[in-house]
Amino acid sequence: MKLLLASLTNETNTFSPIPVGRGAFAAKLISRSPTAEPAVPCTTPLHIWRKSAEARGWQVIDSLAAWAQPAGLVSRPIYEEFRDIILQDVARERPDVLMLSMHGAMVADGYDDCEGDLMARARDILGSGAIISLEIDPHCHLTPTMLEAATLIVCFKEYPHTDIPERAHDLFALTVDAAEGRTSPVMRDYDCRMISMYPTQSPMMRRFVDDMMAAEGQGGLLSLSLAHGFPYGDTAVTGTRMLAIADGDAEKAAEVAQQFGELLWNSREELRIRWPDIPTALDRAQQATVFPVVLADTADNAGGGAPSDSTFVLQEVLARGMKDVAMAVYWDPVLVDMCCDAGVGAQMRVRLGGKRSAASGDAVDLDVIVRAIRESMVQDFGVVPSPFGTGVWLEADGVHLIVNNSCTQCLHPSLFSDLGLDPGQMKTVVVKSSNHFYAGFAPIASEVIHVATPGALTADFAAIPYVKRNPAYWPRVENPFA
Amino acid sequence: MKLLIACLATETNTFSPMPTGRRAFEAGIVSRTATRQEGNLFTAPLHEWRRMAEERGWEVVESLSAAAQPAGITTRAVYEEFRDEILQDLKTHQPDLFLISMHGAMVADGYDDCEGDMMQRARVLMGPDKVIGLEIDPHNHLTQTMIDNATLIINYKEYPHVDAPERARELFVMAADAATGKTRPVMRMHDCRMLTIIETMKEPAMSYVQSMKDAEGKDGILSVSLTHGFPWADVADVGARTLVIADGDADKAESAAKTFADKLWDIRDGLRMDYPDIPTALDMVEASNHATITLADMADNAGGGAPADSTFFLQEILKRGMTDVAHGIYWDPVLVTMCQDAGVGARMKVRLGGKICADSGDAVDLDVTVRGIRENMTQNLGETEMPMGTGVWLDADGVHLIVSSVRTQNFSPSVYTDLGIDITTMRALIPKSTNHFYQNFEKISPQVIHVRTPGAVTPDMTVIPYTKRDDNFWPKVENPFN
Repeated sequence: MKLLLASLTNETNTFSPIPVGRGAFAAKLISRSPTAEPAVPCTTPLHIWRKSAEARGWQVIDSLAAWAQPAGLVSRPIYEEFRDIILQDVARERPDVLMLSMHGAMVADGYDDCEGDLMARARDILGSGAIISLEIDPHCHLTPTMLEAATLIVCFKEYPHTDIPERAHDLFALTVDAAEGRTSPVMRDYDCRMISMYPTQSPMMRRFVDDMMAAEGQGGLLSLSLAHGFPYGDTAVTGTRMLAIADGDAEKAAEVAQQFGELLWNSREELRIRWPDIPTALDRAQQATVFPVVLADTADNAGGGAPSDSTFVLQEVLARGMKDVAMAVYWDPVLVDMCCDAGVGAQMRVRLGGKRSAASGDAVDLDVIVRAIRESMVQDFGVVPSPFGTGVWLEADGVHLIVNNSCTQCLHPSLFSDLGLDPGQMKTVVVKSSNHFYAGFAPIASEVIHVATPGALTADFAAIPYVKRNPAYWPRVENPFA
Repeated sequence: MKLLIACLATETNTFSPMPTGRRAFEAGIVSRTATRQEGNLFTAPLHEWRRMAEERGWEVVESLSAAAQPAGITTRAVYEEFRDEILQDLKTHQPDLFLISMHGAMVADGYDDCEGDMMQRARVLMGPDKVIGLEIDPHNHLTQTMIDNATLIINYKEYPHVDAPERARELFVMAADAATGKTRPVMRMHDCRMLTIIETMKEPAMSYVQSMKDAEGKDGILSVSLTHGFPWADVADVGARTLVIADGDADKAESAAKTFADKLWDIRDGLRMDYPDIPTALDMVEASNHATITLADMADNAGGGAPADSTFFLQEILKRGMTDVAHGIYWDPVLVTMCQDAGVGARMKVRLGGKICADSGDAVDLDVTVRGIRENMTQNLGETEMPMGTGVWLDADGVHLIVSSVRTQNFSPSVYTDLGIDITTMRALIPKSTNHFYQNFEKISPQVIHVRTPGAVTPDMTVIPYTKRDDNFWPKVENPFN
């Protein structure tokens, strides 16, 4: 067997003002030999697939791996260039099996469905006999083109996405069975007509994920995935879809997809986002007696294409005169340079935040002391460290602010402690992240509060200004099936 | 003869929030081989000195050249390191002559008079008889320590500073004469008790400069310099001073310095800064039949330590709905990267300006088209090419805005034409510069108007909040000699 591996990964917030071009990919990863380099989240599956395939004596070839931090639209020439590199490799090598790690919600100028486009072109080259397997993020747009062109699609089941390696192993086992003719996978999906966030640490979602895993391997059911959907991509198919893969039995796949989809629909009241606004959340933090209370600034999540420099929470913290507050992470490469120039111990007047778009809010002028600077930082995230760039700890009279030069969300308390700030000594910790922070921060938090902040990733899903997606989805309408 | 040459230069706006540290110098120049590279304002003299010395068969030792774009206070560690590197070279090589190019208004943490400190330490090492020659910018703080320790000090005479190489040649000849015993230079200065911006391409300053030149080389007068002073620095010695070097005759130097100071006092009404504010200047453009009128955004001059991202002019232009206006250069490396990612032709929502400090004003959100991108751009100041990094032309529906990755003032209209703007169709060009823009813009503009904008280097000398010098200077008081 000959296996070709590739990754082309970006989550596109079509409402984000930050374009994604060559520079954005170059800042993260562009590699023609990804499995010869240290793994990052999108290449972790490639490492696993190579190892597993070589153990079976397969021939393995690396194609391109490229990923960029989520932001706005990917520029057309860059998407086409990267896609065509992979397709040329596919055409030259003519593998029996093509395994891809993608995001699932990549939108380029002129391509609302990059994954479907790449998959359909690969299928045209390889013909119906080859196996095409795709591992994607559940924050994807699952499209008919993808389902038609791919043999197997598996989403991560967990949010926070702590199960990328496990799903890579699952997909490899499914792929081997199909390639060796033991199974005939058939995929069907079910449109839940819902748009929401589904953190899998909630009791309902925990049960849902556990139920999916329990059903897999039973009665000809090969795999179940919940495509949560990515609310901040304006495409015709944006929304939550349930995917089932059965062995040769399309009706079975459709039936199970509908059954799990309806289970989600029937649990929607438990899933309804009821997060407090900023004043309410800070009231709760100020009334707490056990610390630290961890607040999530959910709308300013760089991982969803937000600028990671909004000031809405900071302004309210300053207005209340709160102390022993730590906040992370503000993206500001120019300010990082200024702090590096001033050095540790310097007292400075800085203008922080509010620099990228209207979703950033207004800039805040602060008198600060540079407490620490550290280069080449990483944050723990699952088993794979996530690059953080240069981090700076600024103190504005008891309010501790982390600034960095690499646009990334706040994932783990290690970023505070690596700079010398013990988050355990803080009363309040505010993290710019929607939910990925949870795995790292829950263990040190007295309480975790997701806050319905304003900004680029509003949790008010009914209010997202879609143009391409029809409004028949919950919670925009109470019954989209009516 | 053995000559040691060096350069250590930055102009320090002590009110600027941007610290000047190692990175700021590295972004400018830090080199021990500056004469083998393209010259800039401060290293151009070293090229002249090396060439002239080698023509005479002298041995030339090149020490450090370090120069940074004007900004806030230089960090102590960086100043001391650079200074000590030059002093160590003096100690090692024991030259007969030491010629150094400095700014004259460099302030480091703990050193209000970096040039005086350097002169004093060099004199201690070299002994009383060796020649120390210093070339400085007229926007300097001329101190007794500098005069007591240097053999020869010469200022550029022109503002715009187009004559640094010419003054370097004069200084070399005077230094050679002193070293070979042909002359015995003696320096005296006189405090003018004035502080203003002196544009030497206009009367009455043009004639004043001519009279200085006319006096030189006659009657034992070797050199006449006018220190304009650098207003945006809170040091004891800020202010205009005349400096005369005579051959062996201290009384003559002293009386000539007094004569030139009196002469400056007599023309003060012609030097009074009677600049219009922004609305008045834009009214003048709107009332005019001419195209390509130049309006200088004086207060946001990067060359004086301003951030080069203030929005006061832009906001008034947008409020009036004016079009066919070109304005630059906004410093915003992050936005430049975003535009490079988006590519030429991209339509974007951008947040421009207002990002560095309170003097930046408020950020402005604009819908723009990226019309031009060009890397490695330069602009000319006199004979010298000044780098501006990557330039981007953004078109906000007829308001044309230039953004750069390197913080620099706008020296030349070539910036607009190099990016593809037809400046003859513009009603106004609005460079962010106090006066260096003048020589190049005057050639293409039927009218040049300096505008009294708010910001980091306000041309209103009466409102600068000094704590280290007294208020006894014109125009803060009408007669400081009372």
